Amino acid sequence: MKKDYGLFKGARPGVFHQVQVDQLSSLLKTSLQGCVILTHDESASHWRDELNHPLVYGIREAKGLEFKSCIILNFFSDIPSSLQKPWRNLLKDREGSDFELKYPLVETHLKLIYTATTRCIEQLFFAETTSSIAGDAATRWLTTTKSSNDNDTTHNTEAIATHNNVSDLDSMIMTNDEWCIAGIDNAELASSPDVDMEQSISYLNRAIYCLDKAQNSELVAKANTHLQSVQLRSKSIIQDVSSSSDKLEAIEREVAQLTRSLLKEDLLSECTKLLDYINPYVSTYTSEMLEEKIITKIQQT
Amino acid sequence: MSRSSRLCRYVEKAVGSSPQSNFYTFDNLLHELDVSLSEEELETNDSTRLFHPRQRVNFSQFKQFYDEHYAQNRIAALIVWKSIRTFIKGSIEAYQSSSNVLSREYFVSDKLGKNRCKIPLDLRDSIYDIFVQYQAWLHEQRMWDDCDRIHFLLQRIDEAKNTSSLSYDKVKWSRVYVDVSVVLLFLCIVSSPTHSLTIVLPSTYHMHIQEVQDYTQVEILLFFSISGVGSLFLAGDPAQSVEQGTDFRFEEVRAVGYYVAGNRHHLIPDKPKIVNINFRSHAGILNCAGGFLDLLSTFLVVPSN
Repeated sequence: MKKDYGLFKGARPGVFHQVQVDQLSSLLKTSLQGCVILTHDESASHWRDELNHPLVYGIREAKGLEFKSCIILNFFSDIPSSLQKPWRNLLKDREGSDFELKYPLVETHLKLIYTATTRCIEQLFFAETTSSIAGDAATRWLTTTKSSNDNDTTHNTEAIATHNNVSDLDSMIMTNDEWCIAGIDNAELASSPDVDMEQSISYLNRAIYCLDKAQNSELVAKANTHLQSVQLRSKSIIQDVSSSSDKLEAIEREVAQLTRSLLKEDLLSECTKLLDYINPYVSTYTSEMLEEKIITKIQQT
Repeated sequence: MSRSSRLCRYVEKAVGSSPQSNFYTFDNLLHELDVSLSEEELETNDSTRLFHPRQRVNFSQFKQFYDEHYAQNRIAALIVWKSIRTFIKGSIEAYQSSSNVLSREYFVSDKLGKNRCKIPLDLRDSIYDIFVQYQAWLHEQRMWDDCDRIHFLLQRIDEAKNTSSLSYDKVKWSRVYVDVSVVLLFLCIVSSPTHSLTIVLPSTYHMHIQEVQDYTQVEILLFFSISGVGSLFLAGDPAQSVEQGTDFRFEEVRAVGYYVAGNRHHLIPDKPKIVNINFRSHAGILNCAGGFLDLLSTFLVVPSN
């Protein structure tokens, strides 16, 4: 049967590896108040007390229900010790012969984790409070296994899930993909024609914060380049030019470096704005060369 | 109707209650059937068997029994439990046999088919030995399992139907109507299933079963027995079959339908319809769920017999 990818795109699940119980408890009392915790049925009452959170369900108990936001808690570390290694072998693609007959409970576990995963509508986390053989292997599997999308004919390099930074409570309120989306949204708003320079800087600072939480260094670098350019444009150039030609030369050098970075980061709109900003102060020759070599080409793309 | 009380309440809230609708858990349905049938039986004879909840054997109790008697056995307890629950006592063939138990000859042969029963043939004789000892233990301890209760109910429904008793009229009202508003990854619709007893049932009543993957063939036969013509609707997802000991395939639902229809071919259930679009979750979550499905299908392959 063809795989089902639903009707909408959405964020990949987040993974809290070795998260502390009090961190989880804080999150559930603040940013993730309505989030449902799904555990093995035998552990549900323990976690309800431990987290002081009423929305803790055993997976069998939750079957058929749906929740907007879910945390699947200690599913792998609570697997019986005799099945920890078989689970690791399964996740590492080295399960061996007669696996199903030797470890029939693994099949039940797989159906349980599948059931738990499909209870979630929007936001899903896998949380493991302790290190375990199966839990460590599952974290690696979730955050490194490439998804095999039947509809995607291009080479897919994305893992099934992303690894949240558990040393930072703020970054755990959303999955990395959700932080990324928030960061990109802010960066796009910074480029809107109806925002002034100050607002643009504010949006870009927010974008950098979100992308940093998403642990996406490439996008942080891109947003930083964008920010530097907007900050430069926000400075008045007239005073500097009238005081000394050395200062103009320094500004030109800075613009040249930033232009290179903006082009490298594919920030073409911002690059045009930066060149427009410096254009009145450069020689006619430089202006013509910039127009011919860069601005015209940007306009053609 | 569903096994989970939470799901029952959830659907009731989503659909809204009405005087024409009842929302039952499977346990409640069995209890209601039991009470309806018992009222008249008590007046006529004292054959009613008690199924006290404290004497019920589930997988956990079975495992205790198994670990005490077969600690060194290389066959996992769950494999034996699945063999008993799904095939030896819970299959349609078991129901058809006079003792309501699949014979050893049948179980150890390849008659069940290798796609249906994945238990290797060379293990089946040993499993049957364990089953025989388990049955003796049940009898000795005055315990029962789900299959015992279902067989007993089916037998009483048949008796009530054959004698056109009042209790059968009560049974026919003991039906549940649940709208399947919860979107499932797979959906099976079985239409027009029936057998002779349904003639007396008003066709305006419908029985909708959620999470059908958690039921054995004899449990599904019970649904056929108390539902009306074309009024049984079964929905489920085999990948969510988390009831220990139930090896579910949609083909087995149709097998029950074939049995019920007999030679009235127009009553044979339709083939399952598949809903392969999930309306609940987005691609990020479904892709992850698909990863677990890959593990399920790639690694837990059918062993060769």
